[in-house]
Amino acid sequence: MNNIAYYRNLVILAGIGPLLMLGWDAWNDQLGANGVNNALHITGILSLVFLFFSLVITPLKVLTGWSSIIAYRRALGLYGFAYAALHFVIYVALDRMGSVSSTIEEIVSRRFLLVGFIALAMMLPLAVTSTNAMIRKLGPVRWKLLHRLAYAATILGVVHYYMLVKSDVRQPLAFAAVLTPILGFRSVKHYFDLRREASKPKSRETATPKKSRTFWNGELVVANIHRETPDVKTFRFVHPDGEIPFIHRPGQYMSLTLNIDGQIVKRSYTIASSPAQRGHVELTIKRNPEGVVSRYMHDQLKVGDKIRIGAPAGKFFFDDHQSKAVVLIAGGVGITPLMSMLRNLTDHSWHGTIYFINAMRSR
Amino acid sequence: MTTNLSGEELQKEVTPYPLYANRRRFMKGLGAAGTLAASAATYRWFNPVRNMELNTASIDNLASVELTREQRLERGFLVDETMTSESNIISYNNFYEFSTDKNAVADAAKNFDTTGWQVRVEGMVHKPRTFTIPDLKAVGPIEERIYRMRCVEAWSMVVPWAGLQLSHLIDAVEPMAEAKYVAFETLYDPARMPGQKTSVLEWPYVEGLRLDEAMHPLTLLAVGLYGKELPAQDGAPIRLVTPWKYGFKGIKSIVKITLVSEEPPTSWKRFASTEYGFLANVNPNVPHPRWSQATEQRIGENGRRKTLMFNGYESQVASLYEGLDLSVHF
Repeated sequence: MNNIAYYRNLVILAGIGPLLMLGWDAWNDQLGANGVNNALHITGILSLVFLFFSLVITPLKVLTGWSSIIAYRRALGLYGFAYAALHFVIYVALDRMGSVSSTIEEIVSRRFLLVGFIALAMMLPLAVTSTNAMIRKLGPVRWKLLHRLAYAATILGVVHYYMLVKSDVRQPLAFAAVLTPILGFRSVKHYFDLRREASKPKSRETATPKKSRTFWNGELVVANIHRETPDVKTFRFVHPDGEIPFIHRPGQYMSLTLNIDGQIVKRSYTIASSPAQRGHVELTIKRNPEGVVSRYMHDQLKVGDKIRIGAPAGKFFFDDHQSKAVVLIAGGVGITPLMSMLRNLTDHSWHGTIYFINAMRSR
Repeated sequence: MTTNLSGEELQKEVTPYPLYANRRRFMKGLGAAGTLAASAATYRWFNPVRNMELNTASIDNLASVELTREQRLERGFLVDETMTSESNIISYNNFYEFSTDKNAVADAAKNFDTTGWQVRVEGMVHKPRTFTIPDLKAVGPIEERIYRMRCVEAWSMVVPWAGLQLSHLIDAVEPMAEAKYVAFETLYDPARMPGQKTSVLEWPYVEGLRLDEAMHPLTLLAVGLYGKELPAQDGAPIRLVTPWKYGFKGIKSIVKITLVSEEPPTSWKRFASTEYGFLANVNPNVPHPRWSQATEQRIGENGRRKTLMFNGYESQVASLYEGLDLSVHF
């Protein structure tokens, strides 16, 4: 059950729990004497709690190295938005009795309402751009920039709460006390990221790529996706200028840098194609139901997508043309480096003997 | 002991795939149900359902008032509106001495013991005196008064109070000519009132009225509601009720009443004088700086009511404030 999709569903369930309870209490008229006010209070607090959970994900990930936790962030952030939206709907429908004019009048004349309204308005574009399609459309840089609004919205949410209470500000202050280190952590990290960025030498991308064994960094385009088995796909990449600008040794891998849900992830996959093929490189990848990247590759990646690639790398390769024979043993999808070797050897009409032993599942 | 099993026998030992898959599904279902239950339980922990019952002693010597229903309506002693349920009145309270959470006051106050309570009445009076609760009940008739209660937070109730008209007590101690105001003070005992360990307000809670307001027949020292003695959360054993003023004027658990010549300090005005005034008359036309006072949520009702000038007691009390600019003296 070590399955990210499953745990994400648990997170989604955990977020529904309070809503069901609130509905139950409202239905049974047990929301206390002032039910409307209580519902407003509860939904407001829930919104803040979920926003806090979503903001604490990245610091947790950085501090603990628990990278799969990022898979839960979107659901948490959306719950933060959903409970804020419900909070607003209850206010308009039951406190303002559905009167738009009275709602507007109150919002413009009460500062704490205005602050709360701005916080909600800020979250709206974040919710709209939370889909994978929108992340791709915006691109990682702009998406990240836009989603910094989450911090502003949460701060305003806490301020809204602080301004509302009559005199007991302990609870809003407690929220502020938790928020401060989160913001502090993020700003310090951002500062160091910027410094590291500044100290890096300029990217080599502008120079004409040299076809060599040296490491190359740049973007390749997905040219074709071929389904091999129900859970294995081959992805063919080309370079927009024609030839692949690096030469790998059969068995070597390339690393992919992807933006998944606004999060930068890196993975290395063995190149399955032969280096003799100069027009493309291919990766053959099995979909791992727990794997963030392999699932992304299988479920989201489209022909025409650009992917940042660094290649080649790796010390496991075979291109020894002098040998008399080679024994290649593989199991399952682990065949990929051997595919590259076999293809390369046959492309060169190798003289030696190839012993190829492959084990695979029959069911 | 080891047994040697043949391949076929070994095969039999293996959990059949459908069963194995079912077990996984079962475990997953269990995890999902557990998560949902845990999240619902967390919600319930923070938002308990409270069903309150008023089980204080009944007040058996409620005075039979010789006024007709029409006379009581005219004087404001009775309001012809649905009374707020007993359960709502005793479960939704602003009483910061116990908790700032209105829904949690009743629970926080449930062990509050008022045995041997005394109220000191002093200051500019000819006959200062310390009263026990039975003494106070003997000062004048304990009447039922059904008043609207309008909180400054824009919610309201209709409460059947039982109490002593304050004027009877003031008459009994014989005020001096210089006495112009009446100051009230709540018990200060952080061990019994845990909220006083916090600094959300300056303790003890203090309130005040002009002497003419204190002498008004609507002004009540309540000792009960719904024909029973006041529960702790509503200000046991004795509290002030001024139905045309915001609820915070109704100081609870009073231990001291002092007649003075100058306007006494009052807790909420001291906390934020731009938001809470000394008079604190209910006025739909003067908004609180942070919210409107034009409408109110009547507890137990859907929708909002229009707030009435002086909370509907205009004909009884408006004359007290003739010539005063109520947007300045709020």
